[in-house]
Amino acid sequence: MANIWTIAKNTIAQIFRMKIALVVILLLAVLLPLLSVVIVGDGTLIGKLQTFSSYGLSLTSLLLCILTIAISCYMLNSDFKDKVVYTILTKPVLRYQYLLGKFFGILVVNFILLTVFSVMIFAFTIYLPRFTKATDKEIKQADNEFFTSRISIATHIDREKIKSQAKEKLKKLIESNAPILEGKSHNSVFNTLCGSIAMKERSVEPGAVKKWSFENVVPDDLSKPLYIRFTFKTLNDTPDNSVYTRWLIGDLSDMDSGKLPDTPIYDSNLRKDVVDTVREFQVPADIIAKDGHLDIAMQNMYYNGTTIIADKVELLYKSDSFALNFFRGVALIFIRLIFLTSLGVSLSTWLSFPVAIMVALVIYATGSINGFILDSFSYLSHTTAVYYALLVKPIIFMLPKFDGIYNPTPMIVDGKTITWLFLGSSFFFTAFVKSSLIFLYGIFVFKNREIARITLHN
Amino acid sequence: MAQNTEYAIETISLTKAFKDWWGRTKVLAVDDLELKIKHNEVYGLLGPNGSGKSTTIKMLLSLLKPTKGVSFVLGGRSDDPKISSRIGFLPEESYLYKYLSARETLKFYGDLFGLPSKVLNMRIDSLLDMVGLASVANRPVGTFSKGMARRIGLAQALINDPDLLILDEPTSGLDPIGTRQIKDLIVSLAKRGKTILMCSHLLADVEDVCDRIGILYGGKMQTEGYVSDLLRRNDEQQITTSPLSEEAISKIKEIVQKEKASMSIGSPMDSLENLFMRIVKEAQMRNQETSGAVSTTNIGDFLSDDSSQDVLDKLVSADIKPIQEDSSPSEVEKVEPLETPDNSLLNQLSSKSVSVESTEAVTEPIEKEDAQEASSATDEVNTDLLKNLMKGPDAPEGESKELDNG
Repeated sequence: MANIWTIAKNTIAQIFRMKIALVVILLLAVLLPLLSVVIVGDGTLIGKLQTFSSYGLSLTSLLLCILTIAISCYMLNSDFKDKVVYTILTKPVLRYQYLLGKFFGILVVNFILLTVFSVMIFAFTIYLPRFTKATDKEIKQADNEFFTSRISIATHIDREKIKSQAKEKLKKLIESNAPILEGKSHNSVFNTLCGSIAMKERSVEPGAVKKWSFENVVPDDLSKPLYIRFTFKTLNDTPDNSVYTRWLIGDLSDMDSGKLPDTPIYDSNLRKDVVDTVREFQVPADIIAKDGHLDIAMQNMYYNGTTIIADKVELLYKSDSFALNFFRGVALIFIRLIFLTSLGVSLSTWLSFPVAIMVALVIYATGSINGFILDSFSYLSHTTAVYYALLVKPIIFMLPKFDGIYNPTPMIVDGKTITWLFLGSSFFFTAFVKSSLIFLYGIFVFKNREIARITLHN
Repeated sequence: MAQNTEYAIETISLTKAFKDWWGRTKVLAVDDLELKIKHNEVYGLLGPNGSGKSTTIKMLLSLLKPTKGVSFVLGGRSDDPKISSRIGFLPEESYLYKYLSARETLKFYGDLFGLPSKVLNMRIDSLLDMVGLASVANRPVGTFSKGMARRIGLAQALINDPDLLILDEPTSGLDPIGTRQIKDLIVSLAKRGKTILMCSHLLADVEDVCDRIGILYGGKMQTEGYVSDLLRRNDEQQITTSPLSEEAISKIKEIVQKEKASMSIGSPMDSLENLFMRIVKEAQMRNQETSGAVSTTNIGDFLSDDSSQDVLDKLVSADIKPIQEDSSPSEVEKVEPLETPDNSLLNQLSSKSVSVESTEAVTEPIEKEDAQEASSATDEVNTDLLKNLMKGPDAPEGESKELDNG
């Protein structure tokens, strides 16, 4: 253990002497304060806060990830190049201890840098409202929508349900030998059907009522309001670019049988909302039924005869403080760094620096845009089932996930809670299981490798 | 893994073939080598460039895997921490972290042995003093000349008080003074029970210090034996005397003629190395100013100097004897008796508790006059004391090994 720490300490000293580390540190140290001054966002306080925290966190994450990849791939190769490894491994140092020393050394540097820069971002966001000319309303909005940590429950379209409906419809069409099928493949008709059903699901015609139900809505504090957030589109352009709606929110499950619930029902009365913009309003929390059930009913008040397309309706409630949520977001970034450190060290046990850094960058990119790449992999599953199960699936499992729900930036920007459970499971799978497997592979390779290897070229 | 421990190093049919990408053997770097080096032997592995010396050493140290055969170092495998903690290795070039200072370098390597920091700090001071780098202890190793890097390389090889020292080209890059110092050091380490394997193509170095040599060529052992046996020319004899009169010479000629033997008379030639050492010594005696590295002049004294003699005692644990080297001038070979401050240093080494004051006392320059004051009687006492204290430097290390295992 002492050996590992000795090597780790030396690795830390080594990193801080590397130019790339200094460049990254300098860049962040200059850019972050600069961003906090320069960024305006959409002109409102919350816009500024959101843009700054989004840019700040993304930039810090990106630069530290690249730094981690570079140094973790370089570290071993530089020791081999300078042959310092000869003098180290002939001392009572086991090879896995040497690798672990490198790993922890890089990790400690990552920890220090991430801590410094995330504290910087945090401090800037906290102090930004004080140095910005903002109205009370703006400050209140920022407090409610940014400096908070809210659990979000969103409505979603049940794709499987749509698919089965489309299948049935297609079957009927085939049976009736409908002329619509002529000259078209069944697949394209199926896709068209899916599209039209999904559109029907989302669209609310003039005068119609759409109801969404939520379960397990259990805010810690009932005195704090709930937030309804939505973005509406319209089927056709409206004269004032707005929609008119009325919302009834509460336990509406027994309304059909004409029974009123014990809890109050919130009535929004007539609302006018700009289309294609995120809109949000507050409702009191005491409207939730005791079993955590909540319905949201929205009626399209046909003032301009527009069909509303309700893409997404979200229910948000405060669950935690901004600081804790920010901490969890930074922890998610640290999980990335743990994975990348393990990956870089492991790769460089058998690959030269340029190759190792290439592979690591590709894997990082895959993790960051895995939607597209994983989709292309899963497309394979239909054609090459065996290969897919044996080869592609394990690779996909080992690939890290850095985007989507694993990306903390949009969560923090929207003031949405990253749950401890999610953080824990993400840590377990990415930072522990995947990183350990990759690292163990590196140890296996390194243990069996010749340190003073000479390769002969013809 | 415990093998026959009669030998410090034993290889059985050790073979290394370097292969190309397709797995075809391209070079047979070491071929069926049977190397047996006894404990407390100074063994020189000789051979031209590319004869397999370094490859052999790398296999012994588990830096390379043998294609065939096995090697045992101190009765085990060298990648076993229990074994490697008893080995000191100086690679062909000093591969060190360039940004670490000399002191940090030694601290780093010492920490890898898990040495307690008190013992380690004392050893670092001693070693820096010994290799003459005390004055540049805080300078990054990257700024060192090749010779200075070599010295710090040697110091790191000695940090763990090794039982077996493997030196790959120990004198490369060193000036004649440095070369002489290293050779003297090897001799004195051997006197203290260390086993030394050195490989070199500088024949003079090997001849001066090695008990036994082996000559490698094409990866095969060509010849092996004691230096004295190999070099002795049994068909000739040599008599060396102080200058003789013409009369005496003619008498001797008569005797030789009676024996029907041939004879030649002339003054014996001094080696260039001895001449060089003498000239430099004389210049130093005259306090001649030099623009050379300060360290170089410092090192010039490190083996003959009391404090550096003391360093050796700390590093090694066997009888204290004056360093003897027949060819060296009297200045160098003379070992002055130990004085009182050194005893206190040894006391510190033997006991675990080291007070700061006494450590400072050690680093204080020792005046020549003091050294001369010490009588041969105290020398005797000191030697006894030394014998009692022999286990001194080992004791803490034993502890550290336990720590390692834990």
